[in-house]
Amino acid sequence: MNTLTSWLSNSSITQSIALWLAVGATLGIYSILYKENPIYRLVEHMYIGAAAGYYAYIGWAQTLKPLWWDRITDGQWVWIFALIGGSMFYFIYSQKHVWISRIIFGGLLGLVAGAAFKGFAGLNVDRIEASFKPLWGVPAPNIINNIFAMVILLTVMIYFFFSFEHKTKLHRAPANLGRWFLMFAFGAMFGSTVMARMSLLIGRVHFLLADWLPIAK
Amino acid sequence: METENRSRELTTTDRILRAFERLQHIDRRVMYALLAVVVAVPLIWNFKQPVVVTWPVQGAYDTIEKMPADKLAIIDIVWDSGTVAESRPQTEALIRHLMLRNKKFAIVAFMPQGNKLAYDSAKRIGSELGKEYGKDWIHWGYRPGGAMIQFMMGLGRDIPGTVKSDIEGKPVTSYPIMKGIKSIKNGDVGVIAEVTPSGTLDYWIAYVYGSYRTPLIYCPTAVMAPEGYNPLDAGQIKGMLTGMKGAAEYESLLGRQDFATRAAGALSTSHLLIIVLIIAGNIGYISSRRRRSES
Repeated sequence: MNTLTSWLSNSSITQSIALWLAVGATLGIYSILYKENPIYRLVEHMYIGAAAGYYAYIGWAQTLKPLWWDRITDGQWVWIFALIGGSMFYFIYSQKHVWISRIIFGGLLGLVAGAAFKGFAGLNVDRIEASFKPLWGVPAPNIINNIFAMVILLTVMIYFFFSFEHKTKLHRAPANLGRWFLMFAFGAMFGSTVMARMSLLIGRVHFLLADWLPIAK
Repeated sequence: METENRSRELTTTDRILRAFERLQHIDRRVMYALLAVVVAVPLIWNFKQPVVVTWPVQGAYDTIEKMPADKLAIIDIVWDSGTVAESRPQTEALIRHLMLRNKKFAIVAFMPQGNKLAYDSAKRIGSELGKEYGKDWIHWGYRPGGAMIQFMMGLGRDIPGTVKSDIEGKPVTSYPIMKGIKSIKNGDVGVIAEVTPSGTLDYWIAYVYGSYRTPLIYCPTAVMAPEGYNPLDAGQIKGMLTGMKGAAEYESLLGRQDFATRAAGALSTSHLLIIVLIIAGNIGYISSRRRRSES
């Protein structure tokens, strides 16, 4: 069996089949750019099926088996309770026994709320501290940067201050400025999104040109 | 005579503007074809362009350089095949750097596909640089993303007790690399690098950096990069590799020209096309709006 597996994973025939499958899948997925078609649908469903199957296998082979099943078979029978606890979630589908699922959901919510409470300080205290920037005692370019950061921070916060209506000029002007700063930020984020999407396209085009044809390095 | 010339000038301008307006109605498939060409040409002819190393990438590099050799680095994989073009070059650059400097590291994956892809990358680079699995590096395997927080908190207190087995199903304590490695709390982890297209960095900050101040490196896809500047500014992460561009910068620090560097030319030409299309589209839009309001 091991010899067969080793041959299958190292054989040039298997590698060629895998390459052609990958090429077919890449071109099939990109065929949606021309128009909706059955080949695209086929490849899409193949991907979903393969990914779900692989997910289930890895979940069993690298998590459930070594960390749970093997322990039970080694005599640590107490781990059977994990199965009972996990199964309780599925009672959400029963109208009669839904209360069983509520017990485990309640426990989970408590755990998550506790972890979130701990996480809040770890995540935000440093950031709040970093938003207090020195406006003197640092080089001039830093002072300009820090003033800029302060103005953006305050105007954006005013924009999101909804406790009273922005009626007076004193409220409206900084809130409008804050909105402009937000627009600049969204523009920068959109630029980054373009870069990300282009990178993915480049990856696939490179695969076709370098691994399949191969006319690129 | 003067009026005649003026009307001729206006007609020429009008003609140009109408050409821009027509661009608004261009078939999207033409744009896709153009994009395919501007991406393929630099890849085929290997357009080279200077790579300027930015301070977040330099920060990431320096953090790994400074990591004591007796500590363990953790590379956290939260990517899968959907972002392989961005995340794999980042992962490989980090792995290569750690191996070149003889620094021990462990990979842990919260995505099943990334789990295997990162393992293959480490195996390939390891065999190229003569590094041994279990002695120079280890792969702790896949852990479900839903248990990420519990896993991180577990690493803080007890690494072998939390990880238990590696990707091959063997106890992690049976490998020499894990000798003396107890917990993050004990100071056994020098750097944690997260490669991810999602917002999971906050978990590392909240549950590990917040408690133990272990240096973090963030390797997001370009989409997620803007969110990295807040923790970077607050010192919660020591460096950041922004997508493929960040990987190219890291490769240049390592003196290499791997995939990200070779793809940088295609990234620039594709951006140029997008910029040209945005400008042309906006000129056409403004012109058609003006004409509508005039009529």
